[in-house]
Amino acid sequence: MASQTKQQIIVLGAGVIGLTTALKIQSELGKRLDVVLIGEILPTDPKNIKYTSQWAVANLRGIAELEVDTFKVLWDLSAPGSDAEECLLRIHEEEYFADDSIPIKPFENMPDVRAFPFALLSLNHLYRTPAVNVDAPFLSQFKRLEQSQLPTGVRSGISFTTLTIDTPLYLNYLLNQFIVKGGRVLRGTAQHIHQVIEGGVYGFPGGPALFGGASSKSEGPAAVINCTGIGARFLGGVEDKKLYPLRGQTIIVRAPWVRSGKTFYKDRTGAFTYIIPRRSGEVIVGGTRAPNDWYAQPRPETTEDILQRGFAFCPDLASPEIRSQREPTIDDVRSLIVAEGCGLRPSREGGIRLEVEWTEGVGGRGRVPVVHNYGHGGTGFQASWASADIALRLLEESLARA
Amino acid sequence: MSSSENNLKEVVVLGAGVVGLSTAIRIQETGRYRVTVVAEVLPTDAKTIKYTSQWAGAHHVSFASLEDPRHALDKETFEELWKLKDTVEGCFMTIEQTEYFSKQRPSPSPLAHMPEFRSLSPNELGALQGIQPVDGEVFNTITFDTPVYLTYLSTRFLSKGGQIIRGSVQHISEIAESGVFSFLSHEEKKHIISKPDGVKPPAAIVVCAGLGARFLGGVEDKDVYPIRGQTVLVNAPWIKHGKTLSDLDANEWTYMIPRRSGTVVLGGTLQPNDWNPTPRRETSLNILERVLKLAPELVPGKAQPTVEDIWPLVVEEGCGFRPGRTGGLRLEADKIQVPHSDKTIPVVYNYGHAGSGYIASFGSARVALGLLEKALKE
Repeated sequence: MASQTKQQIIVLGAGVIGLTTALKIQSELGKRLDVVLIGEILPTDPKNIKYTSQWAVANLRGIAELEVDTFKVLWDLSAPGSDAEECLLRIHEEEYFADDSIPIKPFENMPDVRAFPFALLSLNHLYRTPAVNVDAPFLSQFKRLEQSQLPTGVRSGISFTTLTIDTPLYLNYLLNQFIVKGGRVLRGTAQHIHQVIEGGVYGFPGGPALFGGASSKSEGPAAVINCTGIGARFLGGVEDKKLYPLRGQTIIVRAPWVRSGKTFYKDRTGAFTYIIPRRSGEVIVGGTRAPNDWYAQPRPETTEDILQRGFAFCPDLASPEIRSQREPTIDDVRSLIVAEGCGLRPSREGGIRLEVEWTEGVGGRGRVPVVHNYGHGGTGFQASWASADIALRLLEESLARA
Repeated sequence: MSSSENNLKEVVVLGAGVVGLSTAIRIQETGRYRVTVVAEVLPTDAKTIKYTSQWAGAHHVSFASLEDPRHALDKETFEELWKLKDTVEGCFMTIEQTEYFSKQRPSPSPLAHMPEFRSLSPNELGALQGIQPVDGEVFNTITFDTPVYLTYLSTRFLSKGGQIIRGSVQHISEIAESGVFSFLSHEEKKHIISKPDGVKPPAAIVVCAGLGARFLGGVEDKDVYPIRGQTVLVNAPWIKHGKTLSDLDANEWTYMIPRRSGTVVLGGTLQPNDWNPTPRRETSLNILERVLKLAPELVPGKAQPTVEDIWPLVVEEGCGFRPGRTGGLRLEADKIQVPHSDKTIPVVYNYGHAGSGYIASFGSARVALGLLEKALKE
């Protein structure tokens, strides 16, 4: 039973942001705070469209501020012998651009320019200046590709070393770490953030019942950290209309011979084709980016389109045995399909929301801070640790002021 | 599958509360539609705050004034249920209901159409210990054993060929794109995909999501808000009548609703924008104090029973969120885009009933049907 004297912090949302944030807070402040993670869906659950993190690919290709710190943490975790070894794979990655215009004004016209791998803004910087002054491990192997190294139809390209994350495994690793360090996990859905502020762990549907049935004045949390991703659009009292889904569909194939990644950016809309291997031997083929598309199931015509593009871009998806005998066909890759999936990247106009909102008078309580940490679009994994760091700092400042 | 069934238009109803089920039944029983209800919570599920209908008392006593269009909906619903009560076992109890008011009632009273209606005499008004109502009325009505009635509605719907599918719809465009296809099992999907034109939009969508209309993507009606009501259920089968004392100026609402099963629902509260989903003990005690003044007969043999006297009879403390809406009930039709096409389909909205879900259920369902048919003709 948690000590009654410790203040309680509730983290809402058990996706990569919620898990990482809860783990960060528990690790740094666990001695004086009781951290409870409440999620509607947990990483142990079957896949569900409301839980974006399970659908993520994911790989890291950023060097913007928010991502360098995350990259460092994950790079260490990917070292042989680490607890998270099975979740991560170090790879060589190549990125190709169909024309020169893409990196120059990469995604100005895209609604989620801050959420998207804004690496491309940084890559633009790299293009312009020969000297690169960023201290990130993968950049030390950063190279611009020679014309001769480029496939046909590609104007320019770069390569670097990065990581891929087996997202379902990694999410469970995070959850495990959180529990091992003393964090508590509860399943539940808050209809309205006031339920959590007023009633704490007893305040929301699906939460534990108080002994005796009805609640009396139970103590609410000292702070709430809102990491609900796309759910922040529908969470009462937040209802952030700037959030919108950027739907992505993928195919998972079993192709353990593929050990490096590649991505092709077709045009300024962000349309891309990618091949991303996971440590397990699964390879993710994608992708799509459809704003405001809420459709929760993979569309067969999109699957076919991804398969065509993926195969054209990377015929090596077919097995080495087949390729040693003859030219591979698309059906050689089709037979390797393990799953199709789609996820709703929680994009946000104006970018990630990482700030404190003070509430007052909820359920008769005084000032209670809510730290918002959501709206990461397609960069949840690669900004996870850095966002958690900032959220921790905001929490500490708020607790000092309350 | 008969060829006449192939001519049925597909309609998807969102929500399986009293309004969703009543509306689905009304549409289905025209014989012109194949109706599927999609809902997160079904009547046979364990009680949850997300499903208001299970928490309701309920009794049929309209709040609407004569000028209010709701009055006609309430009256129509009552007349239908008054006939239904004789053919359906288990759901209804006919009672004498006494209403006490803190204000003078209009003449004629909005409830004058109720069976055996009459106003209370000054003697009868003075008979309550410690309570001074200004006006009062007595009439016959029905109470609902709400969990049983909801099950009745769903089995009636299913037995006529309706389908109920559990599903969580994040955004209405998912339904507009392919109806209930994405919620079907793998085996069902296989057979539909194999047909040409198998996966297609429905002919129309009807939104009966109650409080959920606030959070349903593409509807997201900010005018919807909860009006929390807490209740205490007691086991008191000797109670065969109902009482209500309303003092809306003081925001006090005290009532006793007996169910056929012998459970009596005691209440209540009207707490707008109070999202607390668990009963508060202080509120339960307050409800019991108020109800015992209004109806000391709850504890036989005691002229002035206290909370301690009734506590052994308490079965459950509960609370529900009445789906209120600024501007009132939303009963209207609109069109929405079918994704990736230039087609639109009609959407009919039937939500925001606040505390009158059961009371206006069939009446509002009929209006929704009318809106649906009009929209489909255009």
